[in-house]
Amino acid sequence: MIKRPKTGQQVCKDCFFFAFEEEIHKTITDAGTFKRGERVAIGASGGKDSTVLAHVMKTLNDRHDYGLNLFLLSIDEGITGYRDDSLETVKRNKEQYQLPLKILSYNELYGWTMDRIVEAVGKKNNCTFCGVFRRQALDRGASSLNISHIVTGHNADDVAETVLMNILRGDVSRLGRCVEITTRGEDTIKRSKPFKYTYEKEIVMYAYFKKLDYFSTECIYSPEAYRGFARTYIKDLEALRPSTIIDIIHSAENIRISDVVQDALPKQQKCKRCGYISSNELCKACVLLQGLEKGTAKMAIGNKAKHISQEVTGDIRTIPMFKMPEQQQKAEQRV
Amino acid sequence: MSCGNPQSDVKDPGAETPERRTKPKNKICLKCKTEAPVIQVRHALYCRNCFIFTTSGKFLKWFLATFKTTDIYPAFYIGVSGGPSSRYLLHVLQTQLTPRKGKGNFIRPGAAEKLVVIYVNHANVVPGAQNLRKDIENMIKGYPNAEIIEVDVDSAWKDSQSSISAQLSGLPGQPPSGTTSSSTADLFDSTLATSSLESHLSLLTHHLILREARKHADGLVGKDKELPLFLATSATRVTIKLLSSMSRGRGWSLGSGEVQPESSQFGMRIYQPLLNTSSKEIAYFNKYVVPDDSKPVVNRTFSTFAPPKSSIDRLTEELVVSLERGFPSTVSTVAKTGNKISFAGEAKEGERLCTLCGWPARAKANDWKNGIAITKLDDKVESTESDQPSLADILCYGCYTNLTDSRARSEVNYALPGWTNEYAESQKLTEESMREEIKDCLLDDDE
Repeated sequence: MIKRPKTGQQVCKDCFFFAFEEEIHKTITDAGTFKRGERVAIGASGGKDSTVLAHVMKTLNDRHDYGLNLFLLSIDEGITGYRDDSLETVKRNKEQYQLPLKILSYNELYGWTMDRIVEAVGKKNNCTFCGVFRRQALDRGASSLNISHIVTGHNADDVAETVLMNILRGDVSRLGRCVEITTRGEDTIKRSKPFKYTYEKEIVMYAYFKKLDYFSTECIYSPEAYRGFARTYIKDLEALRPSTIIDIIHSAENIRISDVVQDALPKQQKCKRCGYISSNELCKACVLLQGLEKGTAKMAIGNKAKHISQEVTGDIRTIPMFKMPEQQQKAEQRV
Repeated sequence: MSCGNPQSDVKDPGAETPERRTKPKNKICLKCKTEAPVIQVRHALYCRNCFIFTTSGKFLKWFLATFKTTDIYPAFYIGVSGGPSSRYLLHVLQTQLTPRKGKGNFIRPGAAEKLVVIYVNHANVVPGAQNLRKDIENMIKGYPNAEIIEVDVDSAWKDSQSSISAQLSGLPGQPPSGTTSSSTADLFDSTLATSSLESHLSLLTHHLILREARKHADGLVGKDKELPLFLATSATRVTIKLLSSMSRGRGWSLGSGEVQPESSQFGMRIYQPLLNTSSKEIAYFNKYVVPDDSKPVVNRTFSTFAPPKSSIDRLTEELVVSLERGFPSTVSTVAKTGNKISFAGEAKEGERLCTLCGWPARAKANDWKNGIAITKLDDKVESTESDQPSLADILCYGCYTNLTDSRARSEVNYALPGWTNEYAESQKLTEESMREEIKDCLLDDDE
């Protein structure tokens, strides 16, 4: 028997598996997440969340006949001793679930690996680079596969943590968006979180009892101290009242940013240099890459980034132009 | 000397916080540039006089921007617990009651004719708490035209006609057993989780202050006119409140005025003028300015001397204090974030009130909670239809979660506050008025 962290109920393994999978199915169907025949990439890191996501997506696609074409999409950040090992797991998952796999590396896209970035900026702010670069890399990887929808393994704990982080940082624009199951701007790839209401503990239980093949080491470049506070707080809250994680998500779904603030937020536009969606003339990835290339990487973080020159000299590397899948397809046909 | 806290040997979790505070380079007061500083507020150093001037100036600036100099109210209401923030607010607010010289020859009249202090006594429900009426009387003794209204938490159950014990087990409500005071004791005794206890107490206190203020205002200006009610929520406290309310699922009420500097509730205009003043500033202001014989008094709460992991509020307080130590702008950032949140519902929906806390409640909020978890494998749906509204229909999501979370015993008898039926009736009227609005579009089935 198992005690479900989400409901406190005592259930047998089979009933747990069924309830776990069907709750995710309900999240997907209630939000109208997929269209029949859609090509969908599963963001796969080899960790427990993405491995369970790949397993459950494959299971539900077969059981409920979603009619989806599923792919595995991995990003190789270039972290020796961590990502190279976890990518081996993803390659095994490819065989286990019979899903096509695409791996795109930071080195290929930006000319930098995370190991080199950490050498340049130190361990303190490297998560900023990794996060910004990964988001673009996933979209570019999906676009190259003619995919316009990515699903990620963000679970309820991650969503609750992000809500708190956005409050603590005063980032109201992200506060409203971070609890949406599917997010999409006009010129971006759709992102969905089928695990939005799924507890991390249940994902671990599912992976453990299903004996799934996943990689369980934390990133060697430790997470930010500030986020660590939010993470510990969420875990302590969960111990006090297990429903807290869901309660935080419910709260965030029921607040609205006042119109005055909404109007003052920067409007979305396209990056002048790489064509990716951005709230400034240059997207964050271009600013960060320029900082790395010019040896002023620390300048590219925070408010100082506003003063970085947008002039591009011939000797620095830039990110290739971003194209949405349909544009990418047309370009390939012309070639 | 021991502070008397049995947990004082517990390791301070904030001690390991990385130090991010910027150390000011010049060791002189930021404002007068001559005196030696005595206090650092975020990144600025102040001497004693400049600190007092700047801190009280924040309130004065807010006050002059909010009230016209010619507006004179029959009364200002203020919720006072006797703690540092309410002591500070009492001090700065009373300065606005007496006429003072404005620009040129203009004499600015007092903004209100009297100050009505509302104190909610927790002594009957919080173990070890004391009745602070005498201390509060001492605080206001020198103020012109100040009066005090004391109300016990028990009084929430006066005229109580409903209980929720049976509703929790799926049956319609039953009348409460026992007397009024035993019903209160039952609610707090039956609640084992400290998080729920402190939430009940905080919500009831807020609501009692509002009701007492409104009752008093009815006698002065009638039922239709709003009068100002001041609450002494500091920036630090509102940060804790915002985070803990999010954790309790109270997002819907957060946008309705819980963390905003101005809002209207229950016929009162609520002002929270200290949302830009941290508890540190308030503590130092009290130390420098408030006379020794009327200093603030700190009463016991459910989590006094408790370790950080004993309740949601206590844990949140620990998080905020730890973060503020390492990242000094956290409190001001979160307090400002609260001001950017607005009510997410439609105006009509907003009229639906939780019968326990009185804040707006989203219809069928609990269905959402049931919808995201599969608890039964068969399709059987138990018939729960009855003439009585279910608990989830009359409470907000946060109160429902609090009450059901605190169901630690098999047999409990939670009497609902006396105003429950009054609110239920007013909500029925709302539905009738909505029907009245759409009556032209309704067709008889026979037609």
